Amino acid sequence: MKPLLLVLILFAFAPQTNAETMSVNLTPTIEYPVEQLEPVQKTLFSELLNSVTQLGDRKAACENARVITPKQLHSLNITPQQRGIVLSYFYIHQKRECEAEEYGEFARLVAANLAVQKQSGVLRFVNALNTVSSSVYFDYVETELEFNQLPESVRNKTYQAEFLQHPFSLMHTLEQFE
Amino acid sequence: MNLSPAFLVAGFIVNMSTASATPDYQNVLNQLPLPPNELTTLLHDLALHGLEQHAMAELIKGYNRLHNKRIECANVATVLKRSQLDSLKMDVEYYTTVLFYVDGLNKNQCESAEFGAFTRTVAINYVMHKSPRELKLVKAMNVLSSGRYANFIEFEAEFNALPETVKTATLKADFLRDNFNLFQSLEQVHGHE
Repeated sequence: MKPLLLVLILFAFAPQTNAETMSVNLTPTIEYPVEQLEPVQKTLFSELLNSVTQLGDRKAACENARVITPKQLHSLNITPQQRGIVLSYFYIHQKRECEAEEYGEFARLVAANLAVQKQSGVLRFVNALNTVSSSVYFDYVETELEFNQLPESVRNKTYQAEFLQHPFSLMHTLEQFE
Repeated sequence: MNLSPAFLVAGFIVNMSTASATPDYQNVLNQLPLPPNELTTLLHDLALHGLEQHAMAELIKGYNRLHNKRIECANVATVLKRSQLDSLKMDVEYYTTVLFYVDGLNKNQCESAEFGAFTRTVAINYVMHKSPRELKLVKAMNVLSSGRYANFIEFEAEFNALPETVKTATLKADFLRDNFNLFQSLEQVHGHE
């Protein structure tokens, strides 16, 4: 694995990640001569690179342009503030469900790499990959806490709403209310 | 192959020494896995708030679940017999490599759900915490929990270097797919030599 390839992998992956909810500064990029790693470290690092590619592909496949209409949301009879929380919660929830298998493998390899890698450059690289890929889950924790503070009647209605149970475009849905 | 119980113990000590570079949280690490009723006290002592507190609580709960499961997986009663290994028609010198690798696969499977949940919280905590103090705790818990996968990769590499006939016979053997007690099995298998 050449350093140039690492850079390409990082940039190829970044635009597919959380495009609707966040931006991540990936500069300066991290270059590392993988061939200098010891066998175990090299194996784990290579597996992580394969995993991040698969996760990126999966994230792209999970993108969905479906727009939830104002009429559908009106049927929930909730306030505009509650609407924002509900849409954010279900948007990330559906994303998480869609990429669960690939993200699980990625997280396993992030943890293993952060446990066994010794070179500071590699650790920085792994941390950068993790920041890009796991930030949506960081957002999810925050959104989930907000969602759980909504009245139970609101939460029950949203769980019963079929149109919230599948992936959708948060950005295009919210644009309708601007 | 130089693998033995002493090898694993040495590996654990190496891991512990890495974790000991976390003086602020040494007491925490010495207490884990924590009884559930002590979790509240610990989180209070850590003095975290909001999302950081929530994420750390999830991490510690996940750590507890993983290590309780790991103990359960290791305490399996099944012990392999020498005659079972002999039925595979391979050289005795391969037995230890085969057992360590297959045991690694079985243990991976046994703790898969708990390890998966734990590593998800590790990944999120690495993103969430900015303070070196909390990051050291996250790292220490991760090293203690994920370090065994470095050992597994070594076992796997040694297994992959074995003759094809040995690998094929190993992977076809049903009795090796069920979780077994590694050290008691090693003792049983090599006790006849």
